[in-house]
Amino acid sequence: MKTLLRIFLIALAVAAVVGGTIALARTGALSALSFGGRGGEFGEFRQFNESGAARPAFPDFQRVEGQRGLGEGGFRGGPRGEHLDGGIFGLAEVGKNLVIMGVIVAAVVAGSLTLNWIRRPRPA
Amino acid sequence: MAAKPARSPNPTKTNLWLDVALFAAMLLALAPAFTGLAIHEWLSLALAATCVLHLLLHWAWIVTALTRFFGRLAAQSRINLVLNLALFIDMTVLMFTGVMISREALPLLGITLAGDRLWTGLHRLTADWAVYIVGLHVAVHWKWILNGFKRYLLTPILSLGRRPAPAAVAPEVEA
Ligand code: HEM
Repeated sequence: MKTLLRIFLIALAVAAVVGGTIALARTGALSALSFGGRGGEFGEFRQFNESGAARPAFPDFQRVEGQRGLGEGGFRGGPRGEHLDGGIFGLAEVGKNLVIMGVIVAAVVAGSLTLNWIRRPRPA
Repeated sequence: MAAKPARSPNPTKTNLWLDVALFAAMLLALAPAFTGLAIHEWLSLALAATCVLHLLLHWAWIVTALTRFFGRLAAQSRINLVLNLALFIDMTVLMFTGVMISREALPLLGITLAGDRLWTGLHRLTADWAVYIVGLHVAVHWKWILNGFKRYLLTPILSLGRRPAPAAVAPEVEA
């Protein structure tokens, strides 16, 4: 019973975050984030969302690619899902993420060890 | 036959192995180019369920940190809570946008959503953030992780060779 209540509370928190995300998406604020701070140029998304109408197709893909240096389809990272077939070369992605996390851990550990060293009790 | 007395589970050990599994699954989920899209989607959905388990196992900490946030709480715990909240929000948005753009798992369950480019963009963005936030999450707990590894992995492995012979025969006593 206690566990069910806790799961319900987690579900409630999830619903709040999802609700917030959808609300933000409707204001158009999220396109600014997910399209590399260029959301202002995608005003069409905002207009259509606010009126509650269906979204238009993404505006002018070719122009997007040419002018803003984004991938095909107007978002970062290349064409939709084309590079996600799976394969051993994808291991590089795992390695890259491990390196990033390793650098973060090393920096935090070094910082905390240095702090401890500075704050160490010294003989009077 | 007499039943064996049940061994009480060791919560630290359970947490450690669950966290190791979560981390490994997260690394794989972050690399759909390696796993392929179908594995990516099913693995990530399983990861969502495991994250709920992770939260349930750490419930006491969550309640304490939340109720004491504006009161007496060590600065490190406060930073930790903010970081964990960021991780929760990021993972929730990541899973939600993943479901919205699903092309393998949900259609197989008979659900087709009109995935759009905003959700794809957001999915990629929150995946990028997840790398940094998970990195920080691991960094904040590095001492606990290190101690856990020493205690439950390194020590048992090292003591394998040094295990004393079974005392079936009473040791000889030198006169
Ligand atoms: C821990 C959770 C998850 C992580 C870390 C994650 C991470 C990623 C990453 C890194 C990509 C590649 C983005 C790129 O193209 O550069 C991706 C793509 C994708 N993910 Fe996830 N994801 C998660 C959950 C999900 C879930 C639950 C689903 C669906 C059930 C899903 C469906 C997809 C789809 C369909 C794509 C292809 C997007 C595209 O068209 O490029 N993801 N995900």
